[in-house]
Amino acid sequence: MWLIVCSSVDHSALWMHERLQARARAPAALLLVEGLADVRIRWRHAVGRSGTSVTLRLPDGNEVSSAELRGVVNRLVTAPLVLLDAVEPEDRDYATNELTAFTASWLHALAPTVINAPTPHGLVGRWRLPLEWRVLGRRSGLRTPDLHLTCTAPGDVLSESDQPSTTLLAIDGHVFDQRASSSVQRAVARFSAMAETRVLGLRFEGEDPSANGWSLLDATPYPDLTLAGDAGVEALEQALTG
Amino acid sequence: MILVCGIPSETSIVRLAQALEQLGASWFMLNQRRVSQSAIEIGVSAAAELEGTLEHDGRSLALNEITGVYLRFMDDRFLPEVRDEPLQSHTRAHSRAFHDLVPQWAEVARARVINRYSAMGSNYSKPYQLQLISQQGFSVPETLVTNDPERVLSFRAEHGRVIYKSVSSERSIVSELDDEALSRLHRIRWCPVQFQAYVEGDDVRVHTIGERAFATRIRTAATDYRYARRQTGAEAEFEPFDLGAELADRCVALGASLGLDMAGIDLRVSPEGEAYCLEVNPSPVYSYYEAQTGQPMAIAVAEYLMGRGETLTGRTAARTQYQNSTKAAVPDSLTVR
Repeated sequence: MWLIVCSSVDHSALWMHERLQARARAPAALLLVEGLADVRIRWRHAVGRSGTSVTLRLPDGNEVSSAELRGVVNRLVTAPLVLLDAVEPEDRDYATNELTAFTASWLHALAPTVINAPTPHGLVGRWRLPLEWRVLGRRSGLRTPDLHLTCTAPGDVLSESDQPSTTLLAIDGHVFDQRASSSVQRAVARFSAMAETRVLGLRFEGEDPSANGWSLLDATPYPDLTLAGDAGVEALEQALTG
Repeated sequence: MILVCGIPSETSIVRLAQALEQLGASWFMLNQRRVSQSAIEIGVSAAAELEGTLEHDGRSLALNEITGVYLRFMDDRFLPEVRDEPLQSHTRAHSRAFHDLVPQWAEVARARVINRYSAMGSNYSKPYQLQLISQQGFSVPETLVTNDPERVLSFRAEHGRVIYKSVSSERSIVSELDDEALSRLHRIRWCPVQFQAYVEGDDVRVHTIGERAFATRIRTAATDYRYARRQTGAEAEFEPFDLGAELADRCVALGASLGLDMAGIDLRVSPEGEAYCLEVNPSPVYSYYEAQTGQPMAIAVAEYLMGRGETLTGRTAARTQYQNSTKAAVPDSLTVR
């Protein structure tokens, strides 16, 4: 069974769930973060000699168990922090850290394949700053616009956000755009490998990236999953199947 | 050139500075308390993958000349020069931007860095890190994270002596699940808590520095040796410990798998000789252990930053996992240091 873990307002993840269900290569269930904000859920997450496991017993009596999951599409950007509404203000930071740390661990243990896997720098995959994306882009062979950062004028990157740009979906190093040449595809494969992130949104300069020499601005581990249509769904299926 | 970042009077830095002097290294102290006399510029351009300059105390340093970095900034918000500044002050904004940019540069610099901030994150979630440790072939304590009191009682019945501690990297005192703690067990329903089977044996702290490992055994009756006097009334005793080649190699590999050029690995060695790994500290205060035992760790850190020995941190756990899952070749261009 596959599981999509996301928020109820993550429309592209909900769309992906529908498409995976419709294609029926494997049963695809949905777990909403809003549903996790319920103290009646019983959590059991074990690590030890016999490996790792996670079981959630839901209020309706159903269980979500790592023993039954082959793959997870992870779209959790935050832990279910609504749970902490009742926490005293002086304990809130501590409780937030505890809940986020717990969420990272159970997500990591939920299935043999979790895409994107949680990291210490983002539950949904590693977030990076523009400098890192640009250097990774350069090292992978993509063009990137110049970047200049100083501790006295941090505005360079902010000013770029108004420029026209195009975000493309990349899964396991393949970017879904027919205009991408084989050399661009190879560079994206290197970029994805160096970023250690299986699903990425790559943001290129201009409305037509090919007309701008495939100049990479930055990337995100939390892209719109509808960007590549059914080709993206098929690629994600393959990634989940491993 | 080696860049040492932090507070010059901090013990780890004092010892490292002495070692660098002793070895005749070319090094530069970036004293974060003089942040107002510091500036950094970083550029990515068609002409250069990564370049820039660091200005500090009247000196200027090209970033590309830096081949080793010891990165031990304290939280700049609490610097005496910053903490009383108004929220919108120029001094505070400059300090924040400077302390943001130096680690950003270190993240992608082609230099040996102890340690990159990205690698220091794995212990933000202890059970998450425990999974990574287990994947490297270490025994780990039986661990349960739950909000179900009944499950905790079953776990205790199964394992006998059980301790509990924070899930996150928030520092907490490791405590035993005794009758007093059990009386508060109902509170875990609000937020899952981490419980572990107690492992009998001696604590051994292993500092890995590049491909070298220094092991220190700590003898105490306390549950948490950092608080030995408070918990037992007596100080813990420290002594060098022989890991053996195989375990030393595994410790070095573990640190490298987490992307740590230097790691503080907490082992508990059972009376039968089995080594359990409890956790890995990504920002170890090696000087404390060196002061207790005389083990030459500062020299080892200095030598590593000077480029001696191999660097093994090319393959982080995430990278290995990515490669295994995608069968993709991961380029080494980010890891040439």
